[in-house]
Amino acid sequence: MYEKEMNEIANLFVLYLSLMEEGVKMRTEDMKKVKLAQHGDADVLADLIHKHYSFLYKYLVKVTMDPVMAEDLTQDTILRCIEKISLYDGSSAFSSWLMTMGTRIYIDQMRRKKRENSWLLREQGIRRIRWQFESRNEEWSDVLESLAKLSTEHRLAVLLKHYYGYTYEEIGEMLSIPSGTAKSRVANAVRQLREEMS
Amino acid sequence: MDWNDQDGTEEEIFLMKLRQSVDRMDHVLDQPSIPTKEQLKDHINERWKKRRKSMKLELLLFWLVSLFVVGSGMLLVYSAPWILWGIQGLSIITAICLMLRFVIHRRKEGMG
Repeated sequence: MYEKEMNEIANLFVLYLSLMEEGVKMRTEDMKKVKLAQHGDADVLADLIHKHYSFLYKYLVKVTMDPVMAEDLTQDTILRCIEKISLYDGSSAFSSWLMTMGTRIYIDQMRRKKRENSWLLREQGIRRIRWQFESRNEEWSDVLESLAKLSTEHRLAVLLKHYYGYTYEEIGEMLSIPSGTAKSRVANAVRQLREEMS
Repeated sequence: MDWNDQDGTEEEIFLMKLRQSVDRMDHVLDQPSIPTKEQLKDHINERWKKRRKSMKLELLLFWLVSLFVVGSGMLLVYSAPWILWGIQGLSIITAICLMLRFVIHRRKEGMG
């Protein structure tokens, strides 16, 4: 029994190491491509964007809870990426850089829109996602309903921490807030979600 | 198991549920219409071309404004030096006034 458990732990550790290795390899590969793109290689940049497009879109759907808005935001983020590629310094993964840009564009857009308007937009977005769930006979779970009801800042914090696995320092950098604020937002978001579920 | 441990386990279970639900959402939602690599390449080239053009224009404008400023300065020095000295004097007086105002404002704030 003990041996079996130890074997399982060893297997998990090997899996974790191989995933880490794969992640580092992917990041190095991306960095090489970014360097070429920064020197004006449009082919490589197109390849890089194509590779991360779906990931970015899926992230923005979770943040906005609106597939249509997420698609527009993805395009805006890609445009900004093309213009600012020379400023990327490789201090974070390329995908994290794209996520940061997308998040900041979204926050800017939400600030410009009026409160009532953004509430209406959010309701429309949730309805669109629910419709897609229903059309595929999938259940729209209570957890997703509660997640959709959270404010943008809380949803962002809880997703970045507990779904994407960023540290509080990284979340703080991404959202331009102190890491302490990021921590309290995550804690509040989890508390709100659990209260909503109970 | 004390209350804290139990709460921590419950939170872990809840977070696992959250991750599973969000994963499910990823699978259920329609895929976005991803542009092809060729489309992206054309778009990138077009954006870079526009950017190069606007940068050239900005540089040209910078040189034109610089030439205008330097030319006007030279003209003032040779034709009417007193205007140049007047501008210099006025700038210094304005700077001193602004500094005094700033200092007085800070002192008032400190007193209040």
